[in-house]
Amino acid sequence: MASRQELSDFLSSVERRAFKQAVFAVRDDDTALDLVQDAMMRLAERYGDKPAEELPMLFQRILQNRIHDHFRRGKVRNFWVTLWSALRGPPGEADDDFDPLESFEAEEGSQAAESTEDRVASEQSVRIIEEEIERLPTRQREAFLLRYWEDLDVAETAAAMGCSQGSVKTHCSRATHSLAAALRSRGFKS
Amino acid sequence: MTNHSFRPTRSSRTTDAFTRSVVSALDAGAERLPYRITHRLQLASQAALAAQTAVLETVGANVLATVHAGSRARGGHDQPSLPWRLLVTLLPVAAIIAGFVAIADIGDALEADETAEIDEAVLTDEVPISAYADHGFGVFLKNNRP
Repeated sequence: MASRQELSDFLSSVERRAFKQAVFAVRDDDTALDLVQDAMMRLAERYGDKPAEELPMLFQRILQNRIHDHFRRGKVRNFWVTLWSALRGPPGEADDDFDPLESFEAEEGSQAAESTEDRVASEQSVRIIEEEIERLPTRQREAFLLRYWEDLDVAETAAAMGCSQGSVKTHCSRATHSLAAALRSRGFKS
Repeated sequence: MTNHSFRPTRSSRTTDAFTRSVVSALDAGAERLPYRITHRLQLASQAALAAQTAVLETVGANVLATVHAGSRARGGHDQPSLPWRLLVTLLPVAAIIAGFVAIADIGDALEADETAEIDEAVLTDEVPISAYADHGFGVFLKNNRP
């Protein structure tokens, strides 16, 4: 059974990556924070008595389910919003001003040792990579992030995604190729 | 555009190098989250830990209650152990037997004392003369003569 300290360590280690994963999927900071918080609460309430080594897979599965639920609810919501907008007239611009770069604000002074030029280049690289991760198809992005960023093995990734191990390998392979091609097209050297 | 070098496809080794580069860029992005986000994540973690503590306390209380209920149902800790129950059962029986024995002993002793008093009275000639005139007493003396 995971102790309080083990759960605390796990949540501390995973919270930022979980947030980024959610942002890649839903493209909204506040929604992503809500999803991560929901996933953390559910993990603690339902699986807080599980061994510490099972926490990563369980948490990722919960988080992915939360993200999918968000999109399912969104479909229903969008149906009524679209209907209402059609009755009221042309759509506004409330949803068109999303800027994915907003979520990548760097803290001032955190890169003091780097030269300004290097820092800007580095931040720009990170931003471009994150943009291309966001553009990946959902399942490919999930597989890539779980397998390589969360460092789950193929079986754990399959369990977290609720699919076969073969599908995980296929999604990872396609994601890697798509990402590499996209980054090459944006000026990264191959 | 940048200094990053990505080398996709063909061999697993180069794919690993590529994914490592992407992962390190993702790590860098995660490290640069604004305070507003990291603070809320921290609060979410604390809330989750509090929830775990509450759940574990509830589970612990339920387990204790179940154990107590089970032991009561099985005659466990709330009932005396087997030696105590044997002792409590056998003690009254032993007391009754001891009482019977004591009553029998006391009866025998009283009867012996009574006989001894008569013998003593005869031997010390404290028997009245009229007693010898009693036919039954004469028969008694005749039968008990050594």
